[in-house]
Amino acid sequence: MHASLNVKAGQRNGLIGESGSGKSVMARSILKLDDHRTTIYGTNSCIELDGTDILKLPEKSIGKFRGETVSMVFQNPMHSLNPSFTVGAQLRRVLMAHRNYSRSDSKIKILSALKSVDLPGVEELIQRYPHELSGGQCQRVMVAMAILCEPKLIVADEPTSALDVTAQDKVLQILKKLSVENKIAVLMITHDMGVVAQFCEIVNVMYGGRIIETADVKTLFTKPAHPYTAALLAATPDPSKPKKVFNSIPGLQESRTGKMSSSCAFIKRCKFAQPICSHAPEFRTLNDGQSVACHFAGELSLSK
Amino acid sequence: MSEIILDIKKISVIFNKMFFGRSQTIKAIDNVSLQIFNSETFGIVGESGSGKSTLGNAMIGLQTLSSGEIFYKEIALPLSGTKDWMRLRRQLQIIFQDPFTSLNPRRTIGQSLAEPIITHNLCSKNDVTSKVLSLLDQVGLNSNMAERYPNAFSGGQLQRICIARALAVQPQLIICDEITSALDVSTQAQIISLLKDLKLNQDLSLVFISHDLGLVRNIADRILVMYLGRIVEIGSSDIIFSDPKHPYTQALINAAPIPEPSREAARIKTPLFGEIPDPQNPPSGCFFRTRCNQVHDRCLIETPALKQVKKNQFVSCHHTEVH
Ligand SMILES: Nc1ncnc2c1ncn2[C@@H]1O[C@H](COP(=O)(O)OP(=O)(O)OP(=O)(O)O)[C@@H](O)[C@H]1O
Ligand code: SF4
Ligand SMILES: [Mg+2]
Repeated sequence: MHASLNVKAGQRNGLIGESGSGKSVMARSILKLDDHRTTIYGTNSCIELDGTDILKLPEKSIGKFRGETVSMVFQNPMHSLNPSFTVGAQLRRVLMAHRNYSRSDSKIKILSALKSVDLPGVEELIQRYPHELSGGQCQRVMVAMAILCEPKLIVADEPTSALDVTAQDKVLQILKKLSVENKIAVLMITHDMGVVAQFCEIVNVMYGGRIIETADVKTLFTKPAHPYTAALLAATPDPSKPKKVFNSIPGLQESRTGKMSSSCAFIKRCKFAQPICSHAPEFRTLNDGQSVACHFAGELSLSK
Repeated sequence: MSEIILDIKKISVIFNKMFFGRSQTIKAIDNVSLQIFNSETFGIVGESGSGKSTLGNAMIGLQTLSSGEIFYKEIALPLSGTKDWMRLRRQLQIIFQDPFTSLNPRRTIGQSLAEPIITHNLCSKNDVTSKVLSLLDQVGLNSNMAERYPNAFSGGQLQRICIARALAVQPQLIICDEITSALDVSTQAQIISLLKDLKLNQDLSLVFISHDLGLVRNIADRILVMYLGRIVEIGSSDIIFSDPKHPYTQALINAAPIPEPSREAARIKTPLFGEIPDPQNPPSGCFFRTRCNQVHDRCLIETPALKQVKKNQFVSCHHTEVH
């Protein structure tokens, strides 16, 4: 994987891409969940959090790092919670692994975390089991768990794609509020442009294991510079607009074989491809706040 | 409007579940009446558990009704498994979310597609192969794919194959239950374009069930909004999306993000408070009253009836004034 990601304190970042594009690999490597013997990072891979390259952290500080500096919210809340323990017991376990609190202090901490994700009746809630909660409530418990140890970064891997719109809206609003109030950076991994529009400040678009465009959210949506970004936007339906003709991207996303090809990853599906595209384009800065990996960045007319 | 192909009259579906030795009842569909017209695309939206799939299944006879009736072209829809139903089944198809479990892994795609054609005697033996190839072509797949097994395909390709199989029997109605929710954005757009194209060329009605309001608005002519098994709003898709009248429809549309950051940021968000009530223990009166920002005394006692508010818009809410 060749990818560099730079996350600033308190910033809400998006990582968007389709299945197989490498989003979750990226997330796992941030949390160092990957086995180092099998994962080889590309020479120019780098994930910076507040100026520190996470990939170069010494092995023994990883445990502390995971949970305290970075925590994670996964796609399926029902699977992330253990069905045989109460909500309170699970939160306590996470807290005790990192903090040396007394029983009463930890309870205060847990209740306030649950209140901050807008869950009702928290005193009673901690006695309940995950199956007694709705999907949206479980996901809010996961968010509460993620903020327990006051992390600097929350990696949220498709946190709302198993939820319906109203539950999704609530989770996104809560995450946003917590991020702003506590200066927690968020890396939102998603395939949904609507989620990006609602939540993110900075967006990174991934294709074929590479980040192909990074821009602030308004620039990305109004002036996408990579043909893939533009195609993704054109394929996104808008509930506030009447029927339109979809401009779907022809062809299929290549299944990744592990080896990085030497050409542009998007070459087979790109309607602007030229002979030069058989050489992988450099990821270069186009203008303030927008970087793109395309030979013709800035020269194409990419209308939506 | 055109001919009614499905006339649903006051249907209810009640599930009885045993839970720790106690029997529990859930009214998954509560007194629903509606019609599906020839050649239309009818969208169904609503929160998880609101009864969308149960209604979709009922529409093609896959769900036993507790009360009420469904007529398909003026014939009472027979119960699944009966001989009469088998005969009608050809005209009423359903496609599900997960294409991987919908196809037999030990059969080639060609065999899977040929089977319904042969069972229903839709063409002469000699023409089966060419019919299969033309189906593949219709859904944008290569003819050489007929020889392969399901595991050789991506999710989007398999969903195309499921569409081809539903089309094989020349149906009148296809229920699409979350058919794109396991697919990527670009594949999803391809499937939607495909369905739109197919509809242009034949008499076909679609029922499109989805959580994705953007998609539903993009494909549906009319929509139904459900809450706890009841109709809250029904009518023209464009009218309801641009001017929703029911407080729940308003909250639902407000919750769906607009994929344009500046317009999304400028929106006043009014999130729905509270949780969807326990379906075994629904509130009295209006089911939505526990979360409604317009609730008044009458809503606690009286179930609102479905009333027409515009030419193509019907709403169940006491608060909505009739014009
Ligand atoms: N076979 C069944 N036995 C018992 N209860 C059921 C059964 N099928 C559905 N239900 C219940 O009926 C109600 C409606 O379920 P249904 O699956 O139709 O909702 P849905 O709108 O399709 O939800 P989703 O968006 O999650 O697919 C729910 O309360 C559900 O738990
Ligand atoms: S009937 Fe009453 S409670 Fe129900 S939606 Fe209308 S105003 Fe709200
Ligand atoms: Mg369903």
